[in-house]
Amino acid sequence: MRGRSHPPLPGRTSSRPKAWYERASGAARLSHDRALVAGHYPTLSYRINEGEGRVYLEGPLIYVAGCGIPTEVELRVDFPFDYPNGEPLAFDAADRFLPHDMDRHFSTKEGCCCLWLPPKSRWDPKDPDALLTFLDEVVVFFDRQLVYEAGGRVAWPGGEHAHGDVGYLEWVAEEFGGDTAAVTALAPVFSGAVSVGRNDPCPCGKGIKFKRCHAPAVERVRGGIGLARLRRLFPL
Amino acid sequence: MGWNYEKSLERIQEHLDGMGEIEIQDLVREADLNSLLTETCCRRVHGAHVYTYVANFPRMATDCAVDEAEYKRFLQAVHLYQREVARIVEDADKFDGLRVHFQGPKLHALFYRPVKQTERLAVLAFFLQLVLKDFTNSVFNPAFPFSEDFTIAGGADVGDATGTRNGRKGDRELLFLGPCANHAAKIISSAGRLRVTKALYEALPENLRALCTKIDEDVYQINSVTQKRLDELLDEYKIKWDREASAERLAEDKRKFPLKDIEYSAAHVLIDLDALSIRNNKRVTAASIFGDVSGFTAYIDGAQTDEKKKEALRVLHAIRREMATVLTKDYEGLRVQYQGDRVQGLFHMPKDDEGKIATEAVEAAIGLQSSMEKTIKKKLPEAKDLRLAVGVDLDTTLVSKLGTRAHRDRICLGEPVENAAAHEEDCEGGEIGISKRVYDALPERLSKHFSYDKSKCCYVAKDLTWDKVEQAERAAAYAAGASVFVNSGGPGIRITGEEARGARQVTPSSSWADE
Repeated sequence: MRGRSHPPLPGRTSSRPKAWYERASGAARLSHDRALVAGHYPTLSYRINEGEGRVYLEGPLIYVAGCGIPTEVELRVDFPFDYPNGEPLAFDAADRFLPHDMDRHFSTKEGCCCLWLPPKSRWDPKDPDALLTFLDEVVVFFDRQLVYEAGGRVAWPGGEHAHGDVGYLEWVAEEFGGDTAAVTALAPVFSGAVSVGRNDPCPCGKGIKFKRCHAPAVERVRGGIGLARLRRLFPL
Repeated sequence: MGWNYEKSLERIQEHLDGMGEIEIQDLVREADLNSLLTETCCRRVHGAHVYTYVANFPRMATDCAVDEAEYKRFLQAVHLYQREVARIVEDADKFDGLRVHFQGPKLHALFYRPVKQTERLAVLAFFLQLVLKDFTNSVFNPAFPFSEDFTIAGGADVGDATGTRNGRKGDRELLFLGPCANHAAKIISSAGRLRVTKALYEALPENLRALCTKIDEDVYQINSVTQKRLDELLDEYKIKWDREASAERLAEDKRKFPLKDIEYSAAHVLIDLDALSIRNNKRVTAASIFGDVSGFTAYIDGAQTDEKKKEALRVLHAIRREMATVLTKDYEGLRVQYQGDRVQGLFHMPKDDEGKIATEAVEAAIGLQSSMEKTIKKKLPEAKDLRLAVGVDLDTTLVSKLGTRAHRDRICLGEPVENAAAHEEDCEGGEIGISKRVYDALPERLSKHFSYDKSKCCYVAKDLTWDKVEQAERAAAYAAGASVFVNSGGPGIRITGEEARGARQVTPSSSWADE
């Protein structure tokens, strides 16, 4: 209704829905984010495409080594339409780290950074400073790219998950404390093929109630992985 | 101590600001080039460049080191050889040439008088090689009998080269830029062989050409001639060199500088090169380092206009000064000599501590690469295609200063000096080549950047600058899953492994990628 009662913002076409930053809460968030960026990453600046209702944060990240040598990496952050509920995406904007392949943890040829496995995302929409946490993670991610290059691209510096579905399976195993038998036993529950009552015995076979056994882990897995992927990961 | 980006930028800028306008003119009348040439007063000099090389000086410097008396005899031989050779080259009644300098066992001489008389200059270059070979065989070796005779190799070319000089008081050296100055050195072959380029060959009179044999398209070898024939030819071309007089001067020098007056010692503090002399030599465990600007010859050859040549000289002066400063100010090293677009350095502190000496030398090598790639190219974008090749080796080295009061050359002799030069020559631009001995003495944080290159017979690191070393050091912290600290409020982002004021702690996530 608000959209009808107010004229569209300059540059905004009346045919598209309001973008996140055009809503009062979004505008306040943008204002807060701008201050965060100005204080902590002053080389970055916002660009707003009014016609498409898209927001970008872009500019150079200038890493300064202890010896003083600066290294510039061009960053672009794309904000989703549902920001801040949806997390932004970071890109190696000037192709500094080619090839943009999975070994370097890029998910697209355009250089979209895979900072984390989605269920382990540190993006917290409720945290007003989530963008700073996100940018710090991006900055460290690019630093790891520099370290990876300096080491001759032999080993990714630090923790990593296997690519694609295998990475998800690693995470599920982590959530079950490495108990692969329990994962196998509960796979039909993840994918919704079997439903278990909270007071029923846990399918893992330990003989205790589901709610006191693996229900929390199953909940985390189902919350962290979409149903389609779960069914692919754990086919019937 | 240690290389720093901002400091490097500042001093390069300071040097460029104070350099002044470079002028290049033709040398049209006879002049003392040592007095005339400066960093900015440069001359196009038509001349014949000669290099002669006593091939076994370096090995003898290492071999003789085991016996004190033998080592003193060797020191006396090196000094007296250089004194007499300098006289032969420079005395007006002999060759009336210019001794550019001794690069350790290698002499660089230039004939440019009479001005622009190519044939005469070529003749002088031709005969200097024959005379020095004769002198070495018939005068010097009998006077200084060692387990093996000294032998020389030589090369000469004629053409135009731009003469200049680096600019610091008390630390000045001539430099000639041009293909002829390079080719003369590059055609040198094995011991006993004397060579000339096609250009020099074609400038010779007919009867001297007949004494040459074509080796390949551009190189001719001077045939052996008897002493009688050499003397006849010297008479014919009015060059006065008398081997008996040379022998007498050598004998006189031996009396003047007896073995009892020749001393050598270890060095407990950084050597003062200017305090060295025939009576005061140093024998040290040292790392020799050579840094050569690869691509500079092509760069200067490609500079067709005077403006481009001036630009190239400005670049060269900036590079040379910066390389010397890295060695001597950023690290505890000595700049031994500039050799064209190459700098020679030495590290010998702390005394006999191979690990620390090797580390200091390799850190300086990384500093040289950092300056070349990060600061020189930032200040002088026209240097973008130039790269630096560096070589390092370590072992016992003789350090001294040769010559008379007016004109003395710093020298380092020993196999590690030759090996370091060879590693540098084998490396491509952007590479650092080190011997196994240096590699073995390095801490893991440095040695891990080097891998053995079979074709170059040394351990090689490519594109290694100080930021890369730091990044590799952070790899361990990332691998351990440790937190890092991000400080980003200022103009740049600094990531460290240690907590710093205002820094935010970040524990990196496990990265992933979707298929």
